[in-house]
Amino acid sequence: MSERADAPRTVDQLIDGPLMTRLDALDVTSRKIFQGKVQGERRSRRRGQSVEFADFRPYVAGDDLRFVDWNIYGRLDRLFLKLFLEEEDLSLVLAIDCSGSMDWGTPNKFDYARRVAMALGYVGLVNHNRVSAFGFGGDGFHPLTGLRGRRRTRDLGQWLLDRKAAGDAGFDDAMRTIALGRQGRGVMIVLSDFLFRDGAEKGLRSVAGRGFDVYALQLIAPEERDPGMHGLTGDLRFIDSEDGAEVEMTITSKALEAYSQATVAHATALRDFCVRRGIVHVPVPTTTPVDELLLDYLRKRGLLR
Amino acid sequence: MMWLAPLAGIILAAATLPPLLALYILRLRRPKRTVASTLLWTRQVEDLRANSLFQRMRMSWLLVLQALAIALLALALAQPQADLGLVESGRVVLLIDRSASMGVKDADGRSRLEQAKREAHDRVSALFGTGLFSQAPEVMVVALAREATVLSPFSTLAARAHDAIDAIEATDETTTLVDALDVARSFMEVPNPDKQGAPQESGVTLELWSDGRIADLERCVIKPGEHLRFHPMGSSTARNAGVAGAGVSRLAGNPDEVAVFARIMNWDEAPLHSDVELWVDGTLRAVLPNGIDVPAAGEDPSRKTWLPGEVRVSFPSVTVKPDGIVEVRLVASDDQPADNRMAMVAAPSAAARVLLVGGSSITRGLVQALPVKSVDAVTLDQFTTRTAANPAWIDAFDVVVLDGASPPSLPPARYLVLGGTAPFEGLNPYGEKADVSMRSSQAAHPLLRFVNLDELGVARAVAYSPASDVETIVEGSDGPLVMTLARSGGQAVVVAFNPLDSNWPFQRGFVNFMANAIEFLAASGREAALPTIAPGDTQPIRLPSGVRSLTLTSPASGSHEITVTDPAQVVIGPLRQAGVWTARWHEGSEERTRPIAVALQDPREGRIGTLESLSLGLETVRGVQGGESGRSALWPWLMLAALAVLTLEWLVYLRKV
Repeated sequence: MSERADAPRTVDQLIDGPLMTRLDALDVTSRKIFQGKVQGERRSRRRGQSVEFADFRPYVAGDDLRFVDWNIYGRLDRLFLKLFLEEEDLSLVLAIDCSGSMDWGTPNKFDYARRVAMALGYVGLVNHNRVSAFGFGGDGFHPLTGLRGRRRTRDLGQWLLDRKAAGDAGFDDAMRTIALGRQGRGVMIVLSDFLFRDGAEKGLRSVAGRGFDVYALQLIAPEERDPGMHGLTGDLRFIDSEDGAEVEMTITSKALEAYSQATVAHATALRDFCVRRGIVHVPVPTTTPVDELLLDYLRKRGLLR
Repeated sequence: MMWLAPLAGIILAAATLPPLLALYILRLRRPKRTVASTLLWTRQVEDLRANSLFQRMRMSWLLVLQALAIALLALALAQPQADLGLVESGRVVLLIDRSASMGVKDADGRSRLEQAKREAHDRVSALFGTGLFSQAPEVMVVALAREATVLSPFSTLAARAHDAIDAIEATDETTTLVDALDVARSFMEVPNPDKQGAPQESGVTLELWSDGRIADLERCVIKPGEHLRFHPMGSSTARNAGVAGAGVSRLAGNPDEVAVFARIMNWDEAPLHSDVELWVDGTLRAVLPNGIDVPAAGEDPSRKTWLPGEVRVSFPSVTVKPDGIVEVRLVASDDQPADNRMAMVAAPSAAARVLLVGGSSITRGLVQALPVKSVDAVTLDQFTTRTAANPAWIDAFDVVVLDGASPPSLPPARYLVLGGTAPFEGLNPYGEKADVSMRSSQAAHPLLRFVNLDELGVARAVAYSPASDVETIVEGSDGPLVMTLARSGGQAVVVAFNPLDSNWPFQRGFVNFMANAIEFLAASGREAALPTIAPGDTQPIRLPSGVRSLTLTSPASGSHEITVTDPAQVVIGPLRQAGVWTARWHEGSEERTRPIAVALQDPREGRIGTLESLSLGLETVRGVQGGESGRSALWPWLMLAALAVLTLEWLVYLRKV
């Protein structure tokens, strides 16, 4: 595959300074953390270890006497426990589809995915989250783990630049591998077009409910949304960018209409599955600017704050 | 059902249907376009993983409709024709009668010939249908009259047959059919080297448009493989009467006056009363008082045959100048006016101009004593010199008498040769015979009228071995003694001996022979009128040398120029219209004319009632009414159906797209 002229070649081309400045104020959030990880809410070995005070509650038998607020006992002669927020370090997992179908469209879906991954990874690194990145595709499964801190930004960027989009995604295997190697809980962001012949359900099922707050960002090229407006007409032979399969098509208005219905059905099926599995499905047109996606679109979806 | 052009339809189908099927079986060479994934396309495409050249044929309404349209077009191109009866395959000969009786206007104001041509056109159209490429059957067009004229040989082109029918013109001739059948059969004989002498395999249909009045009908034979269809033209109740014959005779003692007589016939089954007029040079000269009553035609009980009513009439003598036109007119109107007139041309006066070359005083005195206009005498040298200087000089004489003279050459003229060796081709003189007597003679010949040769004795005669075209009038004991022959537009009477070498001058018959010979050669005195020829005949005339063209004017006043190559023998005609034709030419600055009378003289043409059937030997052919249509072309309907299918295919295509 020849290198495209507009493909990013440096980390600066993946993420520029102004965007980094604007992303400094963001942090990655997890719905699961804020819903059930309050320190001392129940007896558990994973009590909160931070110093950030959260609340008081009356003492009950069995509570750790170290968290009793003795000052209140002195004034009120009753035992109260001090509740603190648990400060777990957030694990941010970026799963990037490097299959051949991603290397298509204008803007290129793979380039777009790498820019979004770079931006999200930067947000995670800046906030000292543990950032992991996994690339899966015909080029193989490429993990990058244990990144933390702003200084690892360039490592993440270089890793993204080294990825090539080609071949089959191997989505199911990749997801299962990621799920098995999970360390701690965190947010997992899957960047893909989800155009898998075997479907994405099995792969997503592997990672859903296993400590990941999964976000499925479905990247959609404009040519995929409306092929008729982008020069697809007449008698054509389509060649699949992943497996080379050929399909002869006569592009007519009815064919385009049927394709549009198939596209909607595909996205709807993926969304319904994600809803059932607690996965946030976010369709992302690649025409959406990356900063707008992060600063506006994903903040509204609760991924960033 | 018949196919006019099956090969064209087969070629179209063979050329288009396989490529059409191939378009559906073979894959299109489509431009390749890489897409992210064919996942979403495969749900509505029909071809997946197409790597083979061919694909499985699937049901496609477009294919069905397109194939159906092509099939319909191929069928249309093959030009199927529905058989509506009277359809002939193979060869068809259209025989159209154009005789005098076909000029009768009893077919809705049109003549029978016009009606016949109209029906023949319809028949041709029916035979060929209205196809684009008329290929079958083969049609031949023959015009019938006294002779058959092939206007179009066997052809598969309808336009050619139509043009031939249009070219048929009416004549006043009689109708013969045997000649036409022979001509048609000669065109039908296709040499086949594998079957020499084999009978004709393909049948032929003879379509005859006629009123059935055919002169040689009893001699016609329809051979195996031939089928005659008779289309009777006209009405069986047509009425006709006419001048069946006429003649003139000079009155004795007054050669300028002639008596005119005529024969009037009535072919109608009702008696006829009519006036009869005599016209001379376009002027009414006499009318029979009280007219004539001609009895009705009918069966003659005594002869048990059908006979027309007949009356013979004669007019008082009238004065007619040479070449004057004498015409007898029947005033009564009927359905056939062509035979209501008969014209004759009065012959020149009897007196002949004689040139005597050489000769004895006895001969000169005898010729001068005859009733001739003039006698000029020259020696043989003078004759040779003057004819060599001016051959036309001899045209001033009606008869040239060579009395013992033997010129080396003779220009065309009429000669009476008495002795000597005349240089005529075919006489073949080979010596002399002595003591010859008469052995036999044609006593009825005009030359021997009132001539008795029983006592003839010839001491010395030229021995001739004449050719077969030389007519021997008097045969001697050792060869011909008197002969007649025609050479180069001239005529000669050759006497093989000099009368002075015989006892003939002492006999009365010699005088009569000389008078007869001069009359015979001058063609004067025998008839008061020149022969009236029948329509379709030719008229030979002799023109002065130097004439290079003449103008022939028809009775209908149409004229045309005729180039003369040999003035000594000009044949005019055939003259197909009855009436007086006029030949005009110039001798120097002076215009000369020669009228030629043409008249219907066949009483069979006078009977114009149409026959409903023809009796040919043992076979009777009943007439069929015209206007039947043979075939109906189906290709327009097929074209319409193909158009409808194509429209439907377009609609299906639009719905699919």
